Amino acid sequence: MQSPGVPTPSTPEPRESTAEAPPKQVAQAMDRLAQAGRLIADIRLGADRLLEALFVAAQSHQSTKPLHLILKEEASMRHHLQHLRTIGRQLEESGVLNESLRSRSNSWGLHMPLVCPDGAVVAYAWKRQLAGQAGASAVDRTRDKDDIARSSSEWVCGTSWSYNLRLALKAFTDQKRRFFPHLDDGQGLESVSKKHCGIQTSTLSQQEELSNLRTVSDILQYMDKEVPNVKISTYQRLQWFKQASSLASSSNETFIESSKEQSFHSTTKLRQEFEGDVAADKIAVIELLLPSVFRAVISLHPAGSIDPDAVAFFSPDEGGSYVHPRGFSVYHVFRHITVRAFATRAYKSLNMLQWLYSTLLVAKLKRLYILCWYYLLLLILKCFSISEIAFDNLFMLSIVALDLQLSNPIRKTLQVEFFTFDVPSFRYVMLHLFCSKCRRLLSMDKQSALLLPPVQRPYRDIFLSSTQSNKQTSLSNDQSMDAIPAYHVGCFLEEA
Amino acid sequence: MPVKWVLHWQPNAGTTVNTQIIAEVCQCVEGINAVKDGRWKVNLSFYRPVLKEHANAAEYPREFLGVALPEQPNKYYFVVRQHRLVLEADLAIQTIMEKLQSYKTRVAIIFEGFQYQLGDFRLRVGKVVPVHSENLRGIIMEIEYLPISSWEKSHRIMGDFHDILQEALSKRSAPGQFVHLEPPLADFALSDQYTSQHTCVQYANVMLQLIATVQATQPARN
Repeated sequence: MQSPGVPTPSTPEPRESTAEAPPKQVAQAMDRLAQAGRLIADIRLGADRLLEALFVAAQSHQSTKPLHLILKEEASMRHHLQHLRTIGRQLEESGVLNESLRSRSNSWGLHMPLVCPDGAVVAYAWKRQLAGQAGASAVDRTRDKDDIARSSSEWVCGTSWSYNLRLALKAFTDQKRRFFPHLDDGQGLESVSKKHCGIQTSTLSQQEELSNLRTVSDILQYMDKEVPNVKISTYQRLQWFKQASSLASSSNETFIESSKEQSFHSTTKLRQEFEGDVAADKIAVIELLLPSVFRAVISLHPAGSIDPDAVAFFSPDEGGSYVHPRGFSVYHVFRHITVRAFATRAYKSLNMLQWLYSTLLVAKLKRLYILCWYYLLLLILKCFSISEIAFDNLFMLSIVALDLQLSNPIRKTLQVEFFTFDVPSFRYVMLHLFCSKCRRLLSMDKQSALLLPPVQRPYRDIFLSSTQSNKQTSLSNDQSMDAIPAYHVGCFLEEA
Repeated sequence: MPVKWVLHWQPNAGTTVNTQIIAEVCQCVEGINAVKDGRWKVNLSFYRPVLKEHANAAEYPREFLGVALPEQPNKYYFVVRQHRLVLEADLAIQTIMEKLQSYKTRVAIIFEGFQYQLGDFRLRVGKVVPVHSENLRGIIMEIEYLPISSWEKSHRIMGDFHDILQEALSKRSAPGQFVHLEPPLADFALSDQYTSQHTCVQYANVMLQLIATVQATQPARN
């Protein structure tokens, strides 16, 4: 119904109801939601205009008109986003977006409309009330309906993420064909060599090493070396589903019987059963198990290539048919991480982009495209100082668009980066790493009313300086934990 | 199994526990956006052997605890502190002991209260009362973190949650705090992977504390 992601900033906890009559509150909430929807549409249009301006800029080098266009668009986008921010704050204060307020709602028996993370609005209860069907039985009936609606909307939210992203991908593919038709094959950057001018030497060797990894077995060996704590297993696609169901049964065993040795044997037995059969070109699912911390399932598409398609994180105790690369964990923290993982993939593209930028020698036409994209992304990043979902959405969309532009060798390098992305640092983030601002592990995430650990956001450094190269996450040193900045959503927004 | 911490209420010097505090704690928990889920109850009994011939007294443990946990409805656990043992048995063991007249219940205590859900955390707040009596002996809180089952790995997250709770409580100027004592897991030969046995050891620990507190305040009352 609405476009994905109604963003909300961090605000003080919603207070009890105001003195206004309930129908007015509800009508106001619906009104604000509609406004938010319109603003989001405006922002999308603005992004389109930016694209167009860049295209024009690439065509004609002389005029400064596109520059003016870009600046004007930036100003209007910023304005729209500020407006969205205030609306979001108002919505949150009225309790529309926070589910916990609903459970102890005392707004005269009315239930406020609920906005789900994917933008769908559940508004059964208030409609019936406004129709004048007051009475205890009516409220009870609507409460039941709300429960059904809530559970169905949660299901929708779960499946809508990947669906939304696919829609976005399709939209940008169309845009690309419209604006950049001659970049279809990506013959653009054949001459991008591995000259690394201007990059610190520590990151230099790592990136060189990373770009040397071309096949899945290379990558797996590299990971084995870098993060020996993680157990890596590979499967064909159907094998994984069998494995997932057997995970469910093994997690139900009583723990008295399974000593450490026993469980080790059983997992190796399972691995041997499957691993021997999987040739490198048939690998479709990779499982990364960091014992007692998480289980990550990555899907490759097509099988055997190094194009990751989806990733999902689960608790090591979870099992069952919903444990697959497009599934979502039952636990909030793992769901959170799954979403972040996708954003991180996008971030890695930006990393590589910075590297590319610093290696470009002469601004040839094709390379100018890359430069323009880089600046566009910087602009977008600067505009988005609001909230996670909005940021991630648009950021992801732009990076996805970017991904399509680049030539194949570059894309391969980008995706190799994804594999080595953050396995050990996720361990740190989850359990050891403190928020660099408040020095604590857990913090109340105002938006979802959950207690969540901080998230590592290396792309924040891009805000600070575009010339300084990114702080690469050092993969396995304990003493570098402090060097990895991580922030809670609330703490991060206050800093920005 | 998800990791659980069992905390007990330590009143400030000079104050005692009362039901008002429980109500305040519940309000505080709801204030941090926890959602009430239901009720819970744990039964704990102290057993003494019924000795027919006094010569064998040394063979039997002087006293041990029996715990019935809500998450394992078919099992009954025993904690023998003297021998550092935690045992798991079927629920029918209670009837067997009764029929055989081998062990007798000396004191039976009930922990019961409300359960809350906060994202990946599950909280239980409850009162400690002897069975057949309304005399409040203490307040207990259980914090459970669902995604992780390793005791070591979850330590910091649990500690952080504990701190958050403490802060919230102190804002309401509660006359005391919830204390977590490190249970002697190594003594009982329990592994890192959390199980119901760990819960029982924590309860045994808490009972020790409660008894000590009650005994400390009793002379003052008398």
